[in-house]
Amino acid sequence: MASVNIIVFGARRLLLFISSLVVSSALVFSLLRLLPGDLAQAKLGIQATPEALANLRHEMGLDKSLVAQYWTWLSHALRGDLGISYLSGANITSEIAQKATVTVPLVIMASILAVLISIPLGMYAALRYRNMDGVATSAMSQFGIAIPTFWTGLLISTLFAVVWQVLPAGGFPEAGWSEPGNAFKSMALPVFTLALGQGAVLMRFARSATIDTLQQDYFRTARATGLTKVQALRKHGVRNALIPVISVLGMQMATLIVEAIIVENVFALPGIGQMLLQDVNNRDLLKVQGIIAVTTSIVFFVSFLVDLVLGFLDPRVRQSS
Amino acid sequence: MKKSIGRLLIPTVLIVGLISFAIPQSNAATAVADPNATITLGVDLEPTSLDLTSTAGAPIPQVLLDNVYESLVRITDKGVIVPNLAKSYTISSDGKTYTFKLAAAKFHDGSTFTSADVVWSYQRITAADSTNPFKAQFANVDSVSAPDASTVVITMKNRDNSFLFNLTGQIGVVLKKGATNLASTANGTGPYKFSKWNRGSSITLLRNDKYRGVKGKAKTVVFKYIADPNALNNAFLSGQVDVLTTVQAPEILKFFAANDKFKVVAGTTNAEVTMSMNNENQYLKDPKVRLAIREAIDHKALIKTAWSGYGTAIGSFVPPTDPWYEDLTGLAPYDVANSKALLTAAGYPNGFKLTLEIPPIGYATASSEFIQASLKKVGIDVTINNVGWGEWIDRIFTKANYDMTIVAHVEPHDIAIYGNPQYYFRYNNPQVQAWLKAADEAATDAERTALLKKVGRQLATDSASDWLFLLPNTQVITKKISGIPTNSLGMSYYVASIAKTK
Repeated sequence: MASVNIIVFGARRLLLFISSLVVSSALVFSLLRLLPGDLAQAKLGIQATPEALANLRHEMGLDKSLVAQYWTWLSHALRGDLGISYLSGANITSEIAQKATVTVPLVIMASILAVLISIPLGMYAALRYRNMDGVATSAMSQFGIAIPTFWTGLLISTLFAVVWQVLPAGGFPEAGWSEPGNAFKSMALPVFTLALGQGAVLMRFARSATIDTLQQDYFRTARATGLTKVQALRKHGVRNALIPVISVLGMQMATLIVEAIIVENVFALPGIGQMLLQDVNNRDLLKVQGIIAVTTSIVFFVSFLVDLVLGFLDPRVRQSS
Repeated sequence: MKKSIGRLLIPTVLIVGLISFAIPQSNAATAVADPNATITLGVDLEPTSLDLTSTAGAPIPQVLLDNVYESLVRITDKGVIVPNLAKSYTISSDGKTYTFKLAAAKFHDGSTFTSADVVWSYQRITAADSTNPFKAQFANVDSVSAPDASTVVITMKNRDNSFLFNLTGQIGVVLKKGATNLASTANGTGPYKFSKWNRGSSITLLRNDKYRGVKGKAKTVVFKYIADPNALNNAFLSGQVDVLTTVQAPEILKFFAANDKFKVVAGTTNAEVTMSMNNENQYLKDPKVRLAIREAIDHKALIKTAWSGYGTAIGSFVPPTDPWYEDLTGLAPYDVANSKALLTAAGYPNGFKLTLEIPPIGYATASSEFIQASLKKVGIDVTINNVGWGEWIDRIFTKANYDMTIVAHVEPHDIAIYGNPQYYFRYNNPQVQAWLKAADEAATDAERTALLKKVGRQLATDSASDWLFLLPNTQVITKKISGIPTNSLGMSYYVASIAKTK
């Protein structure tokens, strides 16, 4: 019975995932078309003649109907072809793939670091929540949430790169990960910056989940069997603390990507976030559309995965859906 | 560190505050230029494509024009037109025939440059299906032909005194006949070869050791693109970048100037920061109202407040480096009392309301509140509205649906835009239009200069717009660097003269 439940649960989630993708792609497409401005003008600038603009609109297919444009784009996108950038003439799929070699490691490393910081600190703050050090740890996380990422980044970059000159202020090695030493050096400050903000958020949840556990009957029973607080927590608390941390991490995925855009700009990292900001400025709509489609798919995919993992960790989630 | 916590509120202040002890001192005054040097230029905006025949935008010619691609003629840092791929040229007395004798040159791929390349490149511009953003500059071209392999003849429909100057810009670049993949690679004839474009990060140029003229001083020149001004400053301060080619927050300059490790280089530009007043607006159509607005603004104080005193006051749409410049700031002096009197005479003793549209760029944002406060003193209630570039181009520039806006017009010799009544200024003075046409067809430079001078004066007399200031070209270099282009008068950032000591 339980395994059937899991399959039904998984199938439902998959359906939800696919329909979210279709709806979001249509939304992104139409919203971007609603923006004021003309793509041909963005490329040719303000001195262009009307004939040159008309020629270009025809070349770009902008004179076709919106539905036709959307269908062309979607049918190609489903085959993994996001088209050719109007402005740079570059293949959008391969450019996103190339930039992902910077952004994906950044986000993954920052998430891991954030979890590694937040769970022990959150549990510590929970255990000592009536003591000064517990309160201080908890206050520190509030501080971490309140400080804007760009500011943390600037401060860290100023200290480590300008004052102490131990790590680069920004950029990424021209040869990428084939220079692993330099690549990791370039990543260190951005990963730390990104993890700091995320870790602070996750820590709040780890703390309240642990406090919650401390007050449960089963915890009292565990203590009654002779386990110390720490031993009992290790046995029954970590899994309970992990549930909110993972679901929050899933929900935070979108925030994490937004913050990655900021961090990439502060540290001049040539990743997806920096590219997106540039393309928005340049009104390279097709590329913006491609990047948003890919990132929203990732966000949806991660929350799909998180749902599955939670369903696995916590039987109540399976039942309630 | 604890003591400076109070200063952390403004990151840039913190950053520059720390420079003094951050950078070890060294003295490079006696060293000689290193021919194998790699020079890294810190630049804010990256090209969207390398194809300067189909894409507008200053970042493309900045890196490619005169460095990788060349035109028949070139404009120097002093603003003088000199022969380039043409070793000499003659213009017929009616101004309708240009004959260019070509230099012996080779493309970077090794092939020989001939007149066929020029004809192919220029016929691409005039073709019916052309999408060249500057096609209008070739509107007077009748034919481009090649009597022999080293001669090109261009005939014009009408005399066009701007044509030779226009040829120095990106429209004039000569591609290899049949060139493809223009968006991602570049095969030119210039002193530097295009080597690599690391999208989102940098473009690398390598010295062309077979160049026919004066060769580049450094072996490698890297244009490093960092959009965030603070990140760009940090890259410079930590030594990743040798030249800060743009300073977007001028208040930072005094810190650089105070440090003897660095040198601030201040030059001039063609960029008139223009506050356009829609001449079709119900209030602004009256020249008295426009003059009242100009006289309500203390331009010297504005330059100090908005741009740390680095700009130049200009009284019309002419930069001081143009031959037809004259100081016209006296025609609209700062005079609040007279401004009020003008508004009363125009029938608005109690003022009125206007919206000032601000695109997302430093000089506009920095000036907006000063202007709002200045106009409040004479009773004009200004609402500041921030707009994105897409909307700015569509609603304001194309449809002229606005009251006032601020933008810098960076194109050289662009005074003729006031001759187009459909331009977003909606300025319509038939006399100015006639002078501009006559200037384009004038037989001598002196005649042309005299006519354009009249235009400049008339624009100021009519208060066609307000010209807030001329943007300075401020750069910061380390003491190892010499030979950077000081002024920004053309479209290129010429790198062949830049040297770096060991």
